[in-house]
Amino acid sequence: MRKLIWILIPLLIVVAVWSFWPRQKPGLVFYSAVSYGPMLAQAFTKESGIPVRVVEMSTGALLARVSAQGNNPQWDVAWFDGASAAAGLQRAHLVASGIVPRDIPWTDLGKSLIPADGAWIPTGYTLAGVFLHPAKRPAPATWDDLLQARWRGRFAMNNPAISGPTYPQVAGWLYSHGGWPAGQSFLLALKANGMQVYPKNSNTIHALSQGEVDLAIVQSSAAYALAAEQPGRWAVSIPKSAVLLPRVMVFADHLSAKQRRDAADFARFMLSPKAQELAMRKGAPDGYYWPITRTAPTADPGMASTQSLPLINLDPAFWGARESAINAWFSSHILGQ
Amino acid sequence: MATAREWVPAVGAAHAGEASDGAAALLEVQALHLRLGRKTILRGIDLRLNPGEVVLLIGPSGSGKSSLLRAIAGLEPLEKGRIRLQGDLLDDGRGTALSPEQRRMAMVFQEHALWPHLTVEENVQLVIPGRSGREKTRALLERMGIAQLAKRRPHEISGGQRQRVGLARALAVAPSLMLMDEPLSSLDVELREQLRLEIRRWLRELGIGALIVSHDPDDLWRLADRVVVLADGRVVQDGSPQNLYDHPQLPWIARFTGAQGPFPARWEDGMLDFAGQGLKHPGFGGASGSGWLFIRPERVEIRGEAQRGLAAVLRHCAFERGHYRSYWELPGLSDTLVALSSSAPPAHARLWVDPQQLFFFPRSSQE
Amino acid sequence: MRRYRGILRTLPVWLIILIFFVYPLGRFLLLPWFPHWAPESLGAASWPSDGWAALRNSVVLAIAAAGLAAALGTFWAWAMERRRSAWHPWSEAVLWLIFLMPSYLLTTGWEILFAAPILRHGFLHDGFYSPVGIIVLLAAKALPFAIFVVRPLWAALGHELTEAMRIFAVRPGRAVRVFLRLAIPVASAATVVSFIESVQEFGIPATLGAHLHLPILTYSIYAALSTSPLNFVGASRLALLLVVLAFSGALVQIALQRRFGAVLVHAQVRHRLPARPKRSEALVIAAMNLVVGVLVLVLPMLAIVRSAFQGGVSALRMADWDPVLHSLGFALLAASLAILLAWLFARSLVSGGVGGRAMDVFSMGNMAVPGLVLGAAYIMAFNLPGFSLYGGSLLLILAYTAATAPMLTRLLQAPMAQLDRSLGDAARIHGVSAWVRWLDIDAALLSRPLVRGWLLAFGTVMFELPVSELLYPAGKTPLGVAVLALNNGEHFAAAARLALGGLASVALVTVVVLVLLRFALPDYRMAVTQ
Repeated sequence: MRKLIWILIPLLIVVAVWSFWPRQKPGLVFYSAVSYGPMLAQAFTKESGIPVRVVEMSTGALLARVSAQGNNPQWDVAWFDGASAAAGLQRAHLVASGIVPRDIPWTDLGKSLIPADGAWIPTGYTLAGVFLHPAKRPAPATWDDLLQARWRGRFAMNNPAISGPTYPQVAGWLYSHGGWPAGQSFLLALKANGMQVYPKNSNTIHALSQGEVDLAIVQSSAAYALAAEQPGRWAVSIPKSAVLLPRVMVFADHLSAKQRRDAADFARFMLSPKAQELAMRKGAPDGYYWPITRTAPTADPGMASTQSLPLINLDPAFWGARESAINAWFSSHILGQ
Repeated sequence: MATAREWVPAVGAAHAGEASDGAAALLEVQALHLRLGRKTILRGIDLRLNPGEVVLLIGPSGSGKSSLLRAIAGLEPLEKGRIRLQGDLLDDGRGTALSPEQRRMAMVFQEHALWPHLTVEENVQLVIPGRSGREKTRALLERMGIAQLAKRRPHEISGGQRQRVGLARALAVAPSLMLMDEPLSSLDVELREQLRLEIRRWLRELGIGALIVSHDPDDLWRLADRVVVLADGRVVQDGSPQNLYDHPQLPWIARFTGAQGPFPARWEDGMLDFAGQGLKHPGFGGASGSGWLFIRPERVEIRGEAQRGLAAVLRHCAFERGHYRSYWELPGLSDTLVALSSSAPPAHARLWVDPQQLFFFPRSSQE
Repeated sequence: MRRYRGILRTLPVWLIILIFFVYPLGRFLLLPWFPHWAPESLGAASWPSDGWAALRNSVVLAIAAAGLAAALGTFWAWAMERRRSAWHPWSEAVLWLIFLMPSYLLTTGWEILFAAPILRHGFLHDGFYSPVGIIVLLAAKALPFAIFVVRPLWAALGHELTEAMRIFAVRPGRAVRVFLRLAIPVASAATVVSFIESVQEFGIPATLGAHLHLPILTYSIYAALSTSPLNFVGASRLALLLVVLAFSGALVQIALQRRFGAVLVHAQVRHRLPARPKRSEALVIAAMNLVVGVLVLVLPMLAIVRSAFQGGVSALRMADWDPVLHSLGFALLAASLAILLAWLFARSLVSGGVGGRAMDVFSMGNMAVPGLVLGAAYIMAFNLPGFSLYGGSLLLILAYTAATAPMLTRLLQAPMAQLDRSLGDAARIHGVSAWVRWLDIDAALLSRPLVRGWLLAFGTVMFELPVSELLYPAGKTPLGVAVLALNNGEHFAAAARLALGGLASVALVTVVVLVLLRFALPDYRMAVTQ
């Protein structure tokens, strides 16, 4: 038995050391829910020499981690879709304020997305919900068209409680139909017309590809990505009053001065034309976004132009504060649980 | 291989507890109480062992013999009492106690308790501290005549050999006191005798005192210097084997030492009413009444019909190792009475028993 | 004084239990009454919106799965105990493999199959992607447990009972009824065990349940803790429900055993050679073995293997094997810690007395607490101001250890109880020091159960899912989490590759450990007394 132990103990020590050894202090710990985050982080490190350790997660999981870590943050920079979520973090004092870099050539839309206290940096936007459907089939023009009989039971969306970017879509519906709680009637009408709800983008798209539904309401980037993957099979239509979903970057509170500087450089790099070019060309699926800086390349030609479309830009603070109540109402009244 | 040797057994002291030459006791147990769970197993045990003395611990099942051994070894905590070894306090019954590892004792177990995954050599070597363990082990195994088993494992050797190894291991720690829990009971009769001799020899040679639990009457005659009888958690007799033979204090002891019985009898005014006949008997110091009578077969004399004695009819007779064992029917007795003779007995006879060799226990005594 | 010394010696064990089990679970499960114990969540609702639906679905699905598993399992166990069949070795192997296989692998294999063009449409596909599919999968996972519980019951039922029926020429109708009356308590035990297993199952709801947007208790708990806004109190309420469900099941099981045990006491167990099966029985046995083996093991595994090699060897070389390596490291450490802890616990368990009984209650009670709840409790418990373990590898390993130690403790119970007490006594009386005793005697004599327990813990942690999902350190994705993420994104080939990598690692480690064991410990047998 001793022989076995003399072999095992050193082995375990080696494994423990390997497992727990603190890697060389990275310059920045970067939580990314954006698909091209790691790629850009690598490019940033190559250019600036500042090491970045990237951790990829879905938006929901990222937010959950950040919340759970509370005042012991193990991250420096986080990047995800959804200003209301960022507002929530800011309300819980988990992010630093005044982080928006100066001298960025914002578009007018971009400027409107910058929060008053500078608690997050907008870096682009997608649309919370667009229509994804088989290429040959038509799509509704407005949200209200979903109440027509032809769409009965044939359209699907994600569950806002589980899918991060979906809540702003729900909020947008409420906003454009009387606010909260008046807008509930619209959602109830959607339900009455047989709306299907799946947990996440992947599930909704799966249902669409299986033919269970003819129309999926998903985030614009996911829709464009799928359409590009399977050319000719799918089409993307943007309804009137689509909801703007800013892509935001936040910094952890209590960063050291050096970390703050590095993070600022990081943000600047992400907004640079070079980085955005890289993101749009090679950063599917999230690369299908619309930029908000004047020097950025134009969005992918396959994407519709949003200049002429009326977009809803929700107040993050207002809608962010009501997220849990609205999600709860959604689950009990729409999902029937 | 150890040869059987004759030796003169040291006759134990006539009375318990007296050292043969005034030397200090090896083991002293005073007023020991032991409880296991909710049950009190041992009550007020007093026991003394002198250096080099071999004491046998006997008693009916459940009398607490093994528990006493475990308590002395330190495997069970005392409720009350004291244990001393060579004057050193081992346990004061109040929480201060030496752990078993510190007690300088050794134990031989009924099922040998050899570690099955270790060789014979390793089994013995494990208990020898220090670097010289290997040599000491070899020397010991040689001395005991089992050196050829050194590399074998317990399941590869016979029961007798295992017990020898158990003995070797016990001797290897050079104990002051040897404890043995029915060391021979799992062996067959022939092996038992062999091992008995070896144990006796080693104990004598090394001058180690021993406390041995046993169920075998042969151990009483051939191994013990002194015998302590436990019944119901108490010491009921403590004396030499002869003392037990001549004056058994309990029916159980009478039977254990070879007496036959119990036969129903009645004692009144100096007369013992047995098998429908009266026998004169000196007093028992108790009131008249009925009770149980025990008789030793070797003390039953077969006399002619005309002589005095109990009228008896021969039921059955068997030749056994050079003498005749006869079974006699007596009026009023459901069981037969056994007698031993050197020649074949007649069909009718008178049986005579020396009143001094009759043991009567009133009905109230423990059975 | 002596008594206190005894208590002092067992103090470390109870301290460990207090710190790593009682405190985290207590703090988490009492949240509904003490919500301020939770870290500031971002204004979450206290009752998860889909709570009641999740409860209803979980119970219904678990009951249906339990019924299916019990029906099949009762008959299968009867066949294994009462009939001689060449299928038995295959049965043993199949049941063991099902027991060991992570449920999400099973699901992934079938999802790969149903993604194939021929199967993509049709009623089989629809059946799979429906509650029926979940029920069948749950039943498959519960089957080994049901059979494990039921076999000894069949073994103990004396053959005389059935033989008497035949000798007295009882009419078939009545015979069936009498047989059923015997079988019902047995089947009830199987049902209850299957129910408990099914209600605690996480892998299947996390894969299939999510596709069906069917709220299930375990997945809802996970969702409440891994999306924003975090809902600790809500998760706690759901977890309480889950624990109560499992606990009730356990109580029913104990009651059944007590009632049924009386029947067994009167039966004299005489071991007779089982009879050969009748023609009809043989057909059913063969069908059962084939169908279950192929459907539950062979097909999904083939699908996974084929999918894994889809890109050819280059795809294998380019694949990201990091999750496998991470899990390997975690599993090696956690399994070692867990087996040591279990050994400590088992000593307490076997030594009897008050401590032993308390340990018995503790290890049994832990069976009602699924790893998911323990993981959830650990998020909060060790995330204190100034001392935070959350997000680190250490906490994950501690959670793995805590999740597997109770099961290992019960596994070690029988071998330790069978250890001859006199072997330890002999060591103590002859002055062998405690360390030498532990190493050279206790550990050596227990080496086989200890190593088997270690291997079981290793395999379990390697593929573990719920605790991993909740506690994995950012950047060190464990195998289960990675496979699940790939599965949800329908990247089946990548998921299959990782799964295969994990299986290969487990196989390799198992072989290495068993070889080491052989080398370190020679073969020996306990000596038989003459």
